[in-house]
Order: sequence, then C-alpha cells, then structure tokens
Amino acid sequence: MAERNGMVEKRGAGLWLTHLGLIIGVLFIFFPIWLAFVASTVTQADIVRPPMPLLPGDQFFTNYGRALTSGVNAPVATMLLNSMAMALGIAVGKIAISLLSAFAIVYFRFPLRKLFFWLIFLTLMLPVEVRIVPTYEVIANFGMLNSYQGLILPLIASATATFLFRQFFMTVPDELAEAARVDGAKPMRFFFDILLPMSRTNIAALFVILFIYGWNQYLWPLLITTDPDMNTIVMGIKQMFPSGDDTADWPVIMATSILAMVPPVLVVVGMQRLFVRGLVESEK
Amino acid sequence: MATVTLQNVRKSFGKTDVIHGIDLDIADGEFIVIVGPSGCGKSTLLRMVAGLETVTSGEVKIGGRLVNDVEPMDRDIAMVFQNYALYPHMSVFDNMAYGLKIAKTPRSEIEERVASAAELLQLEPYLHRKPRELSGGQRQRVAMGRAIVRKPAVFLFDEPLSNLDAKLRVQMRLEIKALQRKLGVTALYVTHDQVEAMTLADRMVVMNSGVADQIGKPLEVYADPQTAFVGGFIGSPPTNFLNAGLIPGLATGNTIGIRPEHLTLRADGRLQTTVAYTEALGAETLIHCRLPDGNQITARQDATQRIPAEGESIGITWNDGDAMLFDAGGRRTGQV
Repeated sequence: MAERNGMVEKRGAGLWLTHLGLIIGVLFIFFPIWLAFVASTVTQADIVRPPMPLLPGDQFFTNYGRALTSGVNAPVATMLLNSMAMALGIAVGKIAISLLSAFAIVYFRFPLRKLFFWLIFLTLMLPVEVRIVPTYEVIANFGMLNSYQGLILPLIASATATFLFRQFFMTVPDELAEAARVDGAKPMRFFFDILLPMSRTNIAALFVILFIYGWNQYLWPLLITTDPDMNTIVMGIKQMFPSGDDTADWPVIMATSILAMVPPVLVVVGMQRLFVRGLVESEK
Repeated sequence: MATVTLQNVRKSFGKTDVIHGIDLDIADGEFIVIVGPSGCGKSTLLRMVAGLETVTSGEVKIGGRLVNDVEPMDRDIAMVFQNYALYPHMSVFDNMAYGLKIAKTPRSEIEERVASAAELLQLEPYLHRKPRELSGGQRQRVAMGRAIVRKPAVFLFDEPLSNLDAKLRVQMRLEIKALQRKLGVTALYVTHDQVEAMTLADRMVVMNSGVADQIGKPLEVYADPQTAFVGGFIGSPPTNFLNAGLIPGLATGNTIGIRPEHLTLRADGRLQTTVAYTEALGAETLIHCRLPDGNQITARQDATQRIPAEGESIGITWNDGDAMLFDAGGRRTGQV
C-alpha cells in the first residue's frame, strides 16, 4: 500500500531528484531563449564586448520600439501582421475545408467517392517543397505574388486534417444523423448544429497545430514575397542577418526573435484551456 | 393519430432480398409489436416506415397517404432509437426542442410542449442537464420526450429497451404502454424480446427471415402458432418439438410441438425419459428430460409438485388437444 501511494504521490529524496532533473532540463532548453531576451535589452556595444551579459539591460523599450516601428528591412509590426494573417488564414481555411470534405466523404454517397478519397490521400505525398516550382508558376500566373491569397491558398488543403475529421465523424453513431433527419434537419443544418459542436475539441487541437504550422512557414513566403511589406516574421528574421561586411543590429534582431515567439505561445496557452475543458467534458 | 398500411412491402440490398413482401394494416391508436430474432428484417421494416430506408417495392401509407418518397420529417412520425441517439452537446431541453426549432415553431409553444412532455415523463429537474449526466433510464425518457413533443401520428420504437438493465426494462415497458394508452398514438415497436412483445402488443407480427410468419393478438399467437418457428420463438422456455414418428399413429417427418406447461410427469407416460437436470425457479420448476432418441424435452410444473432427482427415469404425458402438429416445412397442420 505504501509503495502504491509512492507511485502517485512521491515523497522524500525521489521527489527532489525528479524535480531537479526536470528543472535542469527546463533550464537547458530555456537558456538560449533567455540569452536572446537579454541580448534584446542591451546595446549593440554590450553584446559584442565579451563576456556576454547574462542579466537584462535597460534598453528594452528602445530596442523593441525600434524593432516594431522600423526593423531592418520592414517594421516588425508589419511582419507580425503578415504572419498573423497567413497563420490564421491557413489554420481557419484548412479546418473549414477539411471539415467539409470529411463531411462529404463520410455522410454522402456520390459517384467516384473512393477516387476522391484517395486523391486527398495522395496529396499527403506532395508537401509544398515537392510541388514548389509548379505551385509558384500557378500563383504567379494568377497574379498572386506578394499577396495574402498567394501566401495562404497553396497551403490550405490538408489531407491530415481531413483524415482526422473523417475518423472522428466515423465514430459518431449513425443514429444521430438519422435522429436529426427525423427531426427535420437538412444535411448542412445537421453539420452546423450537431457535427460542428461535437468536433470542437478536435478543432481546437488542430487549430493549435495548424496555426504554428502556418506561423513557421519559411520557404514559401520567401519565394513569393519580394515586397518587404509582405514579409512574414520568420523569413524576416533571416533577412535581417547582414550580408558581407555590414554589422548586424543584434539587439533589434533578438527583439524580433522574441516577438516572433510570442503569438504561438499565446495560442498554445490560450487554447490549452479549451483543450482541458474539452477533455474534462469528453463525451461519446 | 393515423392508420399505417403496408402493402406487399419488399426490400433488397443489392441482390440480397431482406424483406419478402409484408402486408400489414394498423388501426388508429393500435400498438403493434414486430418481434423476431436478429437479422429477420424487423428493424429494416420499421426504418422503411420511418423513411430512413427506401422501399424497394410495395406501398407504405401513413394516414391513407402514400409516403414511399416522403422525407422522414414530413411523414408525421417520431422515432425512438436503441441507443437513444441524443445530441450529446445539447441540454435535455434542447434535445427535445430541436425538431420544433427546425420546424420554426414559436418559442412560447416550444416551451409549453417541452414542459408538458417533461412533466409527463418526470424529467422536469433535468431539463438543463446534458445527456451524459443522466442515467440510462432517464436518457430513455428524454428520447421518448423528443418523440412526444413532435405530436406525431405514429410512434416508432426501435428496440428502445435493450440497453437497459432487466429491472429498468420491466419498469420502462409499463411506462411505454401507459404513455401510449394515454396519448392514443399509433405505435410500431420492434423488439427481439418476446416478453416485451407479449406484454405490450395489441397485435404482434412475428417475423422470420424477411417474412411475417404470423400476425395476431399475443395470446392467440401463443395459443395457436401458425408455424413451428412462431411456436418456438414465442414462449419461454420454448415449445418442445418432437419427431412425430415417436408417437404411434403419426407419420414420421412431421413434428409435434408441446408447450412445457402442457407436459405432465407421471410414472406411466406416453414417452419414457430420463431427467437430465432441474431448475427450481421458486414459483415453478423446469425439468429438462432426455428422450430415448437423445433429444431434450422441457416440462414446467408448479413448485408445489415433487421435483424428480437427476438421472431418474420418468414417464411424460400430455393431452391430445395441447399437441400442435406441424408438417415437414414447419407449417401448422392442426391438432394431433
């Protein structure tokens, strides 16, 4: 009995040891981020002079102000906005399209249903990197270079999310759809009134994953945005690095890096609550 | 409230015929139970009346109106499903009100109808709970409430009690019967449980692999089964079937059926048997005996009578009027 209690509620040396291990792990991961934060609060001179400072300086507002309003190529505020538009567009678009296609595949019998299902499946094998040249060609011909549509549309189809929703819809008992039919709900009414609210925890989970996926896009924005006003933050950071003999404005670059981390963290923290609530309320 | 008429209704899935032509006239306010083993097509028949399954051929009429191609919601029916099919994210109130909301019923009327259904089913304290916060019996009541608020002409029940435990099943069975009497709505009820069929039905339909073997009042069906299948399916323990060749004067190949309660154990019986084992149920005792040809035969006797020991050799007898004669195809040919 004592041993079983120990499993659940560790006491004594074991407790301290495990915590120590975890704390070291966290510090190890967190240290570079701390360095970046420290570097974003001191002057350029402080950074280049060894030893590196380990405590924040007094330049926080100056550096972040400079980053947000002017940056190096484009103001960080603009890049954040672009990234936000792209990440939200991709996350919301992917979820909407996947929900609808999964709904069609699970609940409707139409000709070539199997074929369409496998076509969606096939796109799993074609990530952006593989089809990047033809996709670029298409987007360029549509005149979508340097636009939000150009950033979002090629990344919006998602076989993974379609699968996830398909699997979930298949666990929903058929009687529920039949009960709704007897109640007089037309297919789309059933979708919005019953299926959508039932999938909300899945939607929240996917939103987090897809938002971060969209936020971290690097190659595609790099390719189709030539106008600095359309730069996204992740590619923007790379472009801040000096080429040749220019000196890097490290405090501003570090401030930008920190700023780039904030929105995904907020999404994860914010959505986590919905997650947990969803898990507690879990229902069949 | 309406009549339901089925005329030569057939159903096939691809090349497989599931229902081979069923004719049934249901009077207004009648309680009809469709009973049969799993896979006999009873649920399919109900779903065709509901409009959830297309009719391959034949006619389904509700209230005299041909409804073969009418959507479920326009058939003036309500259905109670085996697993209740409650919307998990909606409160009890919303579950019951959903159909009315879609029909654009005024808010005040929805509230009134849900309130009266909740009162009828004693669900008032639970109106704001979610289905998962309810017990099985309460969920069952919500499913019935959802059917009642629609004020349908016909209630359809698809094995509504099979997810409940035995005690609750008996209680809900009585409630369903009382409710149907009170509302006077025509009801079509599918079950595999012959006790439910016997107790609930005004008339019952015994189905056997896509065919209605017999349609009639429960006691008539019990007393006078038209096929060996009906005789074996209705009644528990089931009817004993003996090879007619065992009895002098009857042709072999035919079968006689005798209900357990019609068998009497006597020292000098028509057939000599060995007691295999006995089950004392309190009010009655079931005695399973082995016949000389190896088949088993079950007699039911009152608990006051002597219980024979296992392995005892004993005679078994019956009155001629109680033996039912079936031909080789299982059709009833008369009394012995």
